[in-house]
Amino acid sequence: MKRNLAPMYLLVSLAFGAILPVFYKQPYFYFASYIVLQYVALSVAWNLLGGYGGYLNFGTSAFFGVGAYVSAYLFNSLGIPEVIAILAAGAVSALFGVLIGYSSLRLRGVYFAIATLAATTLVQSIVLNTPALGSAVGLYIRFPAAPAIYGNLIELLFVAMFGISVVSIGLSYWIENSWIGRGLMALRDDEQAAETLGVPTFRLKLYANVLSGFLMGVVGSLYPLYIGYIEPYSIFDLGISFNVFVMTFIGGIGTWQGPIIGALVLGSIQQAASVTVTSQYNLAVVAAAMLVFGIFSPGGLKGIFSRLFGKRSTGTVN
Amino acid sequence: MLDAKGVTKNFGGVRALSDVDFRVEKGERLGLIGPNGSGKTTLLSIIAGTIRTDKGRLAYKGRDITRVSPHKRAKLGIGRTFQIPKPLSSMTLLDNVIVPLVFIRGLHNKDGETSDVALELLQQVGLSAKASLRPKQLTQLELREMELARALAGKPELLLLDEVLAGLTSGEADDVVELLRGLNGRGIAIVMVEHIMRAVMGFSQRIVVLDFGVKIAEGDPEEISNDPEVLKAYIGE
Amino acid sequence: MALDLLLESIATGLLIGGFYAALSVGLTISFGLIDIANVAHPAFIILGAYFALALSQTFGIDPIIAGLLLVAPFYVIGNALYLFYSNTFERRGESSLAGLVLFFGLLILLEVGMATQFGVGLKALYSAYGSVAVSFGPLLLPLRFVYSFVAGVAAVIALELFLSRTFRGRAIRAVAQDAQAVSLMGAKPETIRLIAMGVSIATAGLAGGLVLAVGPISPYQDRLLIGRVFAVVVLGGSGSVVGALLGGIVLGISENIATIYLGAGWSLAVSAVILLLVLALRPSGILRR
Repeated sequence: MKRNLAPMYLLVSLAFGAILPVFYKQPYFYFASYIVLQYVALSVAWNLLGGYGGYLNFGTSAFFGVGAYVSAYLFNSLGIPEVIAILAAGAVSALFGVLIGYSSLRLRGVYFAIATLAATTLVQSIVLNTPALGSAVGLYIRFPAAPAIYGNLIELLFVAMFGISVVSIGLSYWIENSWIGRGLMALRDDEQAAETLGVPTFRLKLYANVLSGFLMGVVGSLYPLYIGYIEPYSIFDLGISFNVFVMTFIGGIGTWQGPIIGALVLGSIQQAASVTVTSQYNLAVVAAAMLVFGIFSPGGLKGIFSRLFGKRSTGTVN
Repeated sequence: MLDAKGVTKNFGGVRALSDVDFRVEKGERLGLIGPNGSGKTTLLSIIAGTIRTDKGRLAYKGRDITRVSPHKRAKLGIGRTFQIPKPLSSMTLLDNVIVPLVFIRGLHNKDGETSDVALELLQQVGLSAKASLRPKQLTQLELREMELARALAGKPELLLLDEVLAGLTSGEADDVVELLRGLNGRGIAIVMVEHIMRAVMGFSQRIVVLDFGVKIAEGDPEEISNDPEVLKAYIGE
Repeated sequence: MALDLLLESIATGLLIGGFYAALSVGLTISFGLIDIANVAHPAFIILGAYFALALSQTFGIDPIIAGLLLVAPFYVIGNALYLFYSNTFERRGESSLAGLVLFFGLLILLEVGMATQFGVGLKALYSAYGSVAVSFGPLLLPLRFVYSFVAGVAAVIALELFLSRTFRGRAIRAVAQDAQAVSLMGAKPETIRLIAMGVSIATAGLAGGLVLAVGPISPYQDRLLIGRVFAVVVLGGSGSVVGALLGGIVLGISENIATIYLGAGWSLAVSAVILLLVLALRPSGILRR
C-alpha cells in the first residue's frame, strides 16, 4: 500500500461503513459484527505497545472497563450527551495509562505486565466499592432515543465501532511507518542499545500506552449502550485481556495487519459458535491456539501468509 | 571534555568500581586497560548512561550529566559500542544504522536520503554489501563492525569503544585503527577499552589502568608499560 | 476495645503474612533468581490445593500434611515445566517476553482444566481445626491461620537454609548473577535452573495444602492470589527469601488494617496499590540490596 493512497483507503472504508446500514437491514449481522469490530479495535490498540514496543499489557479489560464505566456513569447517571461521555471515557482511560506508565514503564517488560494485572484488580475493587457505579450489582443503562440517522441504535453503534476500528487501523499503519514505530521496534529488539542510539524509550512507551489506553477506553465507552447492563466481574475479566492478546498474537504481532486478521478470524469463529469470551471452552481453545502458534509460527497468520507469498506488499491479504 | 569524579558502583555484594576519577580531554586518544573484571566496561556504561553510578558526579562539556538518560547523552555527542554486539534483530543491517540517524541526527524525511547516509557509514566499516541482511545472518566480527557504524552514525564527539578489535586479524585490526585515527583527526575523542596491548599502546596518547575497580595508574604508554604496579596487576592474575 | 481489635488484626495480619510469604517464596526463586516470570505460579498453588483436597478426603490426612506430600511430585512437575520452557522458548534466544506468553497461556489452561475437572463451585475441607480459634493472651486467633503460619514460616526458613548452606542452593543463587561462575563451580547452569524451577513448583504444592487449610477453594482463586504474590515478591526484593517473608508480613498486616478501617471489599486492592507504588518508587524492594 503506497503511503499516499492510504488516506484514500481510509475514507473509502469509513464511507462504506457509514452507508452499509442504509442498504443492508439484518439486525443479527450488526449485533455480531459489532463485537468482532470491537475486538479488531482493541487488538489494534493493544498492538501499538504490545506488538511494536514489546511491552505486553495484560490489563486490556481494565482500560476497556474504565471507558465503559466512565461513559455509563456520565451518560446514565448524569445525563451528559453521549458523544461527550465517550470522549471523556477515552480521556480518563488515557490518564489511567499515564499513571500505569509512570509506575512501571521505566522497568522491564515483565514488571509492566504484572502492573497491568494489578491495575485491573485495583479498578475492579474501586467499582465494587462505589455505590454510584453500581458496586457488585452493576448498572442498568437507560437507552437513548432512537437516533435520527439509521433509526436503529444497533446500526448506529455498528457504524461508530466501524469508524473507531478504521481510525485505529489508520493510526497503527501511520505509526508503524513513522519514526515512532521505528523507535518502538528498536526498543523492543534491544532497549539498552536503542537508548544508546538516541531513542527516547520511556517517552515512546508512554505515548504508545496512552494512545492505546485512549482507544481502548473509547471502545469500552460504547459497550454499555450495546449491552444495556454492565457489572464489574464480567467487564474486568482476565479472559477479555487474554482474548485480545491472543487475537493479536495469532494474527501477527507487531504488524498493522496482524491484529485485524486475528480479531476477524477468532472473533468471527466465536460469534458463529455463540461462545462467551470468558467461558471455559472459549478460553481453552484460545489458549491452545496461542500455544500452538507460539511454538510453530510466532509470526502468526500474517507470518504464514508472508512466507507463502513472499515479501511483496500484502495488499491482497485484506 | 568529560570529567568523572568519585565514580562508585556496586552490583549486589560486588564492588565493580571504587571512587574512580576519570577525565577525557577534547580530541584525546585514551586507552582504558586492566585485567578481566577490573570494571572497564562498567565505567564505559556509566559514562554512556546505561548504568547509573552509585556515588560521584559526571560532567560533560561543563554540564552535569550524572542523572541524564542515555538517549540524551547520545544526542549530546557520546557514542559507544558494546563488547558483545547488541543488534536490533528484527531489522536489516541498514535499518540498524538508520535508527541513530533518525534519533540522534534527526534525519527523518526523505527516507532515500537517510538510506544513502547509512550506506555510506556501512561502507566505512566495509559492510555495505550486506546492508539488506538481518543480523542473524552476520558473523560476530561483522556485528562488531555494525556496532562501530551505528556508534559513528550519531556523529559523536566522544566515542567509547569496548574491545572493538577483539578477534580481528592483525591486518584487520590495523585497518580499524587507521579508521579511528582518521576520526580522531577530525576531532573525535576516543576512549578505547582493549586487551590487545600492541594496538592500544600504539593508538593512545594516554592510558588509564584499572584493577578490581580501582584506578592504579595513569600516564602515557611509555610510563605505563614500565609501571611495576601495572605489571603486577596483569601477571599476578 | 478499639486497641484490642487493632492488635488482633495486626496479629492475624502477621499470621496471614507468613502464609502469603509461603505462597510467594516459590516465585522468588523462579522470577527473582532465575528470571523466569512464571505468572502461572498461583494456578499451580490452586492445583496443589485440589490435589491436597483429594488426598485429605481419600486418606483422611491433614491438608498441610497433604501439601507436604505434594512437594516431591510437584518438584517433578517443575522440572518438566522448565524443560518445556527452555526447549521451546529459550533456545530461540527469545527474551523473557516469550516466557510470559507461555505462562499466561498455562495459567488460563490450568484454570480451565481445574474448572472442567472439579467444577466451578467452592470446595471446602472440614478439618478438625477449621473453625477453632485459640486465645493468645487477649487475642483470639483462628487456629488454621496459626498452623499455616507456622508451616509457612518453617518452609521459608528451610528454603533459606537450602539456598545458603547447600551446594545446589548456593549455585542457584549464583546462577542469577553469573552463569559462567557457576560452570566454574563445577555445575551446569542448565541443571541448576532445572533444579530451581523444581523447587519453585514444589513450594507451590505445599502452598496448595496451606491454602486448603485456610479456607474453601475454587478454580479461579488464582486470580485472587496473583496480585498478592507478585506484590510480596516485588516488595521484598525479587530474589530475597527473607524479603519475601517481610513483604508477606507487611502485606498481611496492611490488608487486615484496611479491612478494619475501610471494609473487607478493599483488601484485594491493597496488594495492587502496594505493587504499583513499589514499582513506581522503589522497584528493588524494601530491603536494600
